[in-house]
Amino acid sequence: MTSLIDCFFLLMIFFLLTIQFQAPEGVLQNRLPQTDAPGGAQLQQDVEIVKLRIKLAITGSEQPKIYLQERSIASYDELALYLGKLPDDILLVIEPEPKVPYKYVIGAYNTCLKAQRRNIVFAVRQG
Amino acid sequence: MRAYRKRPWSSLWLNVTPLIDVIFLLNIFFLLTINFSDVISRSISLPKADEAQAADRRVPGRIAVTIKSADAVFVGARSIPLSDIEAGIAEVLVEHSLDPQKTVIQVLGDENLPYEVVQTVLQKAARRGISRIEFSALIEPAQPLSKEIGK
Repeated sequence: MTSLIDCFFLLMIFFLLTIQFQAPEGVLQNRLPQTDAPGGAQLQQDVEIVKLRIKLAITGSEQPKIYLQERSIASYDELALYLGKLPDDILLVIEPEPKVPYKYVIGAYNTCLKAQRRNIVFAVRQG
Repeated sequence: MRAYRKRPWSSLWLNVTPLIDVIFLLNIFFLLTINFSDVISRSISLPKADEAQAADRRVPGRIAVTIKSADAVFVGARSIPLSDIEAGIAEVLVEHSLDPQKTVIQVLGDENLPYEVVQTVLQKAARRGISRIEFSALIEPAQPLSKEIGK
């Protein structure tokens, strides 16, 4: 019995040391724009397109800047504010620069969803 | 001859049964909740998004694409070079007889990954006729855009 208890103690110590309290995982759903493949989603032509461009600052600060059309946006809150003012039938195209860290792309997309925008697509290079 | 006197503390005995019970329960809890997910085993730090919702498990076809870096891309459990990702996705579609229209690509990307890598995956998925995409994220407030804003 003693060795069994020892074993369980060791197991418990292992679990206590390795446990990770990680936040639950979820998903952000999206649809890809038109493709040259048959059956690819077609980009809606009857809606106005507002390009949401995300690019890294040239200053080398590693912090990206968001541009909504030509307007520079300083924070996600500001982005949500501007998005809230746009008409509902506008299609947002998220077009990040290649070197932008993925987390900021997801952050921007998350803000779009938070602002109740539903017509959002990610730009995909042709070819 | 001195009479033997039983020492009073000799009868004291620690009852370990409830202690063992608790340890057993803890072990059962840990054994049931331990998570050997791909994300943890591949040391991927998912981005944070508080608008993320639990994935719909009823989706008939879901292809998980895990991207740790441009050199470490996995389709399901298979390691595939980024340049061959389209072939890898096509292979899974054929293998599991999945309809591209109903198939979902679940992107599990590291938060510090350059977007161009994710874009390549999206582009290749689109070329295979897949349009439904899911970006995996931790359900937490997103990281602020700049340090000043986070204060």
